[in-house]
Amino acid sequence: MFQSSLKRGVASCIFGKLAEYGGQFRLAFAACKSSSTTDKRLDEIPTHARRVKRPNIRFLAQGIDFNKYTHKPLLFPKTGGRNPVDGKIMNARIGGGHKQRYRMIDFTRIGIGENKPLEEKVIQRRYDPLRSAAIALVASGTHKRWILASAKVKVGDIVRSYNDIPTVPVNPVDGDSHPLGALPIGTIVHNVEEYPDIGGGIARAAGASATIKQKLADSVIIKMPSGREAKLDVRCKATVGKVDVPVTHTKPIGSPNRNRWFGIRPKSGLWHKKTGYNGRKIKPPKPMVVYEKKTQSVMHMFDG
Amino acid sequence: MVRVSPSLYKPRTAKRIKDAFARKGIYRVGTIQGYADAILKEKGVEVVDPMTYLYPPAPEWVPPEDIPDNWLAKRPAVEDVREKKKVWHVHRLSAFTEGMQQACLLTKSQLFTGLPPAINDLVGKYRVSDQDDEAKRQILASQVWDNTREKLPKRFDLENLDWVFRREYGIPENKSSLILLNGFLQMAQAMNEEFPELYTERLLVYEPQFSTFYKYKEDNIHMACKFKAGVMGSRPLTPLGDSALVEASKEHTPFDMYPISPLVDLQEQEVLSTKETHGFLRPNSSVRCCYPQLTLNVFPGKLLHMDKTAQPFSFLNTFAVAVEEARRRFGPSAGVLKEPVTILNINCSPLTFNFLVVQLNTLDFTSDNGIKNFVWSDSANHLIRKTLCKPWLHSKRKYGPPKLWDYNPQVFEKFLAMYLYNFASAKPS
Repeated sequence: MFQSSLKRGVASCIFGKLAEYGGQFRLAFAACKSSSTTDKRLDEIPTHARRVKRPNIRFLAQGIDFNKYTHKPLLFPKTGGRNPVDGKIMNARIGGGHKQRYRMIDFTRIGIGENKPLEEKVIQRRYDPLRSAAIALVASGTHKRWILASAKVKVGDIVRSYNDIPTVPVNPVDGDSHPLGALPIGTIVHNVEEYPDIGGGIARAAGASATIKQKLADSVIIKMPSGREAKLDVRCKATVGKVDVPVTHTKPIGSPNRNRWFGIRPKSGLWHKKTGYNGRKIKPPKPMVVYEKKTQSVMHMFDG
Repeated sequence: MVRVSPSLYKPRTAKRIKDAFARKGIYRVGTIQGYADAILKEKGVEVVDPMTYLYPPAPEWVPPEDIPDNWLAKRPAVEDVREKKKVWHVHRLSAFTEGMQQACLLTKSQLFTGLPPAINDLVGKYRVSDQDDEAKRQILASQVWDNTREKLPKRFDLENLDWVFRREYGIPENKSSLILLNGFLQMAQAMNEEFPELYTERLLVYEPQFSTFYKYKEDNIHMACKFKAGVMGSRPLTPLGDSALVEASKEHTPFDMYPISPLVDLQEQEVLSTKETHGFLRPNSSVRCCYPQLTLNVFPGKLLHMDKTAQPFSFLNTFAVAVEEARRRFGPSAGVLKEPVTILNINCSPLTFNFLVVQLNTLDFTSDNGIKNFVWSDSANHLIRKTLCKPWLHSKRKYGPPKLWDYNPQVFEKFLAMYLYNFASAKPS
């Protein structure tokens, strides 16, 4: 669990900040212009062959477009715990390890129409090196995509994504996706959306799940994996069941050296807490969080 | 004007300075002239300093201080006037999710397992002299005797994952299977003495290639085929499925792979409409042996699911040959053919052989109804089994040679039957 959370942090850093650092990349490339390797124009060099002298922006130079979806695994250069832009150490416990590749995962589950679900067949299930959850390759028509694997879904099964909210709650099937308003109280779900149709954000780790506690007129209250409660829109979609834990994560790591293969360096041991005195304390739960878009008018600013 | 060597032009001063400084103290540099210099000057010849450049280098380039803003801007796009087609391309390494059944949907064909009875009767009827020993020699040639020592990929063993294998050199798999295929072809050609027709009515072609399109329900499918070898004949092969079987194929229900489309594993591309080339398929009048009869192909053994990659891919390629052949003989929009087109295929890896028989009955691919094409598939015939060394079991951790065992003689018998079809009858030898 710990190792994957480390990896996820790095991944989010790299892929999330691409847009931010776009301008910096251009400046950095301009600085390297006088070098002999960059005699050609950037357009003329094929994307896979783009090499810049500074290794920390090499990934950005490859020009991978994250708005276009592909199910093919992409190159994932190692950071070594360094910030890809300024090269400073972000995490001293990351470095080395086996080569890994990034697979884009589609967290959205949107149906075709009001009463017509999107049906997809599961082709493959596998473990993902960059996250704790198992992933599944599904296909419908000529389109393939990776989604989070539900615990009970097997290869060859058909998973469905619904849009409609009937008056009578549906009979939930593991792996299917429904709006929260369509599911009965007590259902275990994962990959829950905070806002409608933006893609799941809650309960995505291996073995994680949320439960539906209460249904109101326009909203649903769920219990998140942390124990905290959240109030969500009725149209927010969620997938039925728990996230699957891959077999590799159930086995013990076995040796300290195997941990290095995952790209994790040992702890220093200097500032470790070595007694049970410093354990976790039981705290009262935090107040309920409400995910609600503010639709306040601008005119209130003039009221004084 | 004369240009002399530095030692003649100017004496070495460093040693003299050191000696003189030790003995006399300060010494004036530059007063002494070289021998040649003094002599030549006496004669009135102009002498040039040899340490100067004959061809002086260009001055260093200094980048401009102000970089223009639009240096990274894209060039104006040029309009491509050439005609292009949107196609689904069949790639060599694409794995088919449903294997042969999916390939059958793309070609509107009915699948039969095993070889057709007409070829199956020929299996074991004819033999080359010393057949099994000769076949074993070909295997050894492809696995052991060949001189190539190329860098092989590092291997790992599931039994002992901690063991780090050292670098090994040997015959790569692709080359090994090519040697084996060539050896088997030469063995099969030894039957020419028994059937003299094979001398005159057959032609062996190496690396034949061509590319074509065909339409599958409003979608263009593009294939660029390149085989390792092809066998051409002076007349087309006789069809294996009779007219009653062709009529019965109307009632065949195709495989259902809902909700996936059969095109899911192909690549969506835009290619030039002039990409269609006939390659080795030439018109009838030009050469004597112009009818394709047998195509041979090779695959690396590391493809784990041969049934999902090698066999469907070679089926589609052989099917494309049949389509092109039918268009040549009966016209592009012939519909149901008067005379079915039959082409055989053999594809192999270093250890396994797959056999295919394709019979094209119709060129109508607009719908799933009506008469279907036929394909007979006999896959995963293991020729030999190979076990690699496990050094951790040896007392001195030695790397021994691989062991070859469980030889299957039926594979070459099938190979020979495919080669001799239409030339030999199924009588007992």
